[in-house]
Amino acid sequence: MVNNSECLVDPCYVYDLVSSEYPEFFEFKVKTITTGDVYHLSPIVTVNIATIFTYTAKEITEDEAAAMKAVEEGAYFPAENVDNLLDLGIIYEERSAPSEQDPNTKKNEHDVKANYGGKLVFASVMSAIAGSMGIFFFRQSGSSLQRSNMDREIISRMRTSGNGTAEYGAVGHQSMN
Amino acid sequence: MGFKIPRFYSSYQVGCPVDSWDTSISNTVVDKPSYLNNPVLYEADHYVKPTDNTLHRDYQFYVRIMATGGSFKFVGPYELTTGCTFSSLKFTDSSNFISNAAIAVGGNVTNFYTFVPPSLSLSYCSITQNQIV
Repeated sequence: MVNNSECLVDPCYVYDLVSSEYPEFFEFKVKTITTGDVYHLSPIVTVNIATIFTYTAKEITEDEAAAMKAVEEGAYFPAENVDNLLDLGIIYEERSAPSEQDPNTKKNEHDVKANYGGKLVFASVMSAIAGSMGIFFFRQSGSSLQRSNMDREIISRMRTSGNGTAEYGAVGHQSMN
Repeated sequence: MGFKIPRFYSSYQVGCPVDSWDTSISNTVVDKPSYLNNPVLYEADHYVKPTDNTLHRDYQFYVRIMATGGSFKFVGPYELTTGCTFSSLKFTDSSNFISNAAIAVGGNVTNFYTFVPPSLSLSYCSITQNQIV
């Protein structure tokens, strides 16, 4: 939340947040007090702390299609060594301003808008450390893409490795190369 | 100068001129408030001042006008404001006011948002503090 101290006369900076460690949404107002103790409340200020993940993806190959089919049939492709993949730059997390906000949940939800013309696509990443392949699946649904359970697991692990929680849903854009 | 009372005259101004002015919080009997002085004549007009002009306050009062011989009339109510009060001071939010702020998880939290204060309708009033609420 916002630190409430020492926000004095013009220019007034809300100079600190107690924390930006976790995705969250909150609101505040600024109470302006004048001589004579007359006060005025500002309009609401909305603050979003959020994370956006960006993935590199490519079109599916025959082998990858076979792998994806195996996943759909219940096979398990380990998404381990995510930290290593991040370190190597094979997959990466991009931190930037949040995107759209769900008016009901007040959280920044999945914002997937790309239309891939009916093709199934996924991102394939190779773990040089583990020597095994982890696969991010994106399954098309209508004009948008939805992540598979495998992808959610990877995201969960990424987030767990970052701040110890996978509770928040502030994940966002996907990009295609 | 204070609050300028309108001028009043007796219908028999020559023989029975208005010669008494009293400040009152009642319009039936004279009940002089401790925080207001009686009207004082200055250049043909009467003015009411607060006893303490350093206060930021709204006053409401009446004035009893009495002519020689005892005929009287209560006039008012009048409103006197000194300093900055809710009734006298108006705020206007700045057109540059920022209503949304975004920051990434783990991002720099210092000075992440700048508050643009509202403007005040009275030049002698000034902002003393802004609080996050």
